[in-house]
Amino acid sequence: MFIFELLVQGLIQGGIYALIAIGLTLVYGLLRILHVAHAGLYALGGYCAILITNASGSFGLALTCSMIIVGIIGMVVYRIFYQPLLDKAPFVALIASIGLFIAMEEIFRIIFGAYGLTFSAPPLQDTVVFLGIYLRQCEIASIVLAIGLIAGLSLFTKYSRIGIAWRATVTDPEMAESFGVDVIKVRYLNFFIGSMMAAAAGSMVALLNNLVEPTMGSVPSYKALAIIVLGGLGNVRGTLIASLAIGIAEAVGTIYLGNILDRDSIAFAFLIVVLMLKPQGLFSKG
Amino acid sequence: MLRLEEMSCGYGSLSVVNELSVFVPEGVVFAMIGANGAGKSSTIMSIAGHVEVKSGRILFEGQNLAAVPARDRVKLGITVAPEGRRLFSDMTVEENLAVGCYSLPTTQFKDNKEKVFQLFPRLAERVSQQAGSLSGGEQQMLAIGRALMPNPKLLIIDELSLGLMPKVIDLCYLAIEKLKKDGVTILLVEQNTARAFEVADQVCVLESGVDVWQGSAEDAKKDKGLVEAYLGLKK
Repeated sequence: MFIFELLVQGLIQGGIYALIAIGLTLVYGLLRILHVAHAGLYALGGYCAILITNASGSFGLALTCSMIIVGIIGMVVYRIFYQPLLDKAPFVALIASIGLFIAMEEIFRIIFGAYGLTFSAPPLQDTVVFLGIYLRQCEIASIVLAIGLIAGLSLFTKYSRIGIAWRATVTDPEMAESFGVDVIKVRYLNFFIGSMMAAAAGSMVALLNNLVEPTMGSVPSYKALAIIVLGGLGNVRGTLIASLAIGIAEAVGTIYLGNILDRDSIAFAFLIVVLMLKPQGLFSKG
Repeated sequence: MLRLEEMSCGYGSLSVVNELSVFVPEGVVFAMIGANGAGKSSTIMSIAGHVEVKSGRILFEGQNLAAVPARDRVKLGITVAPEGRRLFSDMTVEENLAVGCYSLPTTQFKDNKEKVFQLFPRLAERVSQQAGSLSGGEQQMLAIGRALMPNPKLLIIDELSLGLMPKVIDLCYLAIEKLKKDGVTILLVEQNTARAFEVADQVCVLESGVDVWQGSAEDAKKDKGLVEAYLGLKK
């Protein structure tokens, strides 16, 4: 039972990582840019969730708005920061992205204060018994949301016309273009969906911790970068598995190695070990 | 149908093809041959809109293609089965064909897919298999099939027989003859000159980015020295 509980905790955390890292790997797959500022959008999603919940009283509304707002801001980030840099060497966009991320953290600090924000009445905090273990409602919601969004994305890319065109563009943009696919539209779609999922993660983390703070994106930012390397850059399925693996490794490690290492260092230790054994990542496309 | 007027194209400051003039009339199979690096693929990719035209013009049905972005050329009726196939390798055969049909309304998909399957029944058997896991011949069939999905007026095929088994090459050439009967204009790039001369009406030989010989396929066949002189290979 104890192991099962650890597994569930790992899946909650892994689901959050997956929501963040999928957006990152999507951007990398399409544009070969390491979109560091993605974690800033994740934090922004958390801020939106708390601000809108406190104003309206509905977390559901706040989550929806947060995802849409951050999705649109993700497209704006592409338009303003990345599109003009696509012809330059990849590190140029990377530097711009790091700069943007730092700027976003400072903007959060200036506008919302250094100590962060909390829910005035945190919703979904009641404990329920689920398959014999005690979980908060928000933890269950977090798993359900992660599964729902990832399944939705998978169906969308498999069955919708634009979704199929999107995958084609990732494989060979020129050829996709030759068959009439608007690759610019695909890029906007890519940023919208990736940012939307990051906002969902940020909103759920805000709810789980009842806290957002300016630097809440820092650690997830490094971790998500490491996860997409582990999953084979640009590989969505690999990223998903790597996210869950890291989540579970953290949950188990915190119990058994918690005296020596803290949670984040366990995650990175796991990454280092895996990358030493398989430097090209677990699911590299070769 | 397609006319290149002193067209030069290339990458960056490098010009790969110089002042090439070619006329492809409607309904013919036009073979473009030449050794590696002669500029055949660059010519094709500039017609598709992916290689920069430095000077001169490309006209398709009288319209200057300079003003038409690569994405809209399929709507004019130009499609490409490029060198190396360039399939969407981690997508299924069906999905590759779906992308091929992207410029048309979805209602067209089923009919056009059936037409492709009639031409290449093998693809129908592989419909839910990943394109990357197909054999070389099947991949070439899929590349041609994908290019046929938008009902092209001009089908451009680059290196049709490269790396394929003779039996598969037969199948592909059979398909080309059928398409020709249906009135599709075909621009064929080949290294296998003997096969190309058999199906082609007209031939153009490129060397180092300039055309060194143009004429009918009949004349090309008669001119024994042609292939040796310009391709440096004996057939």
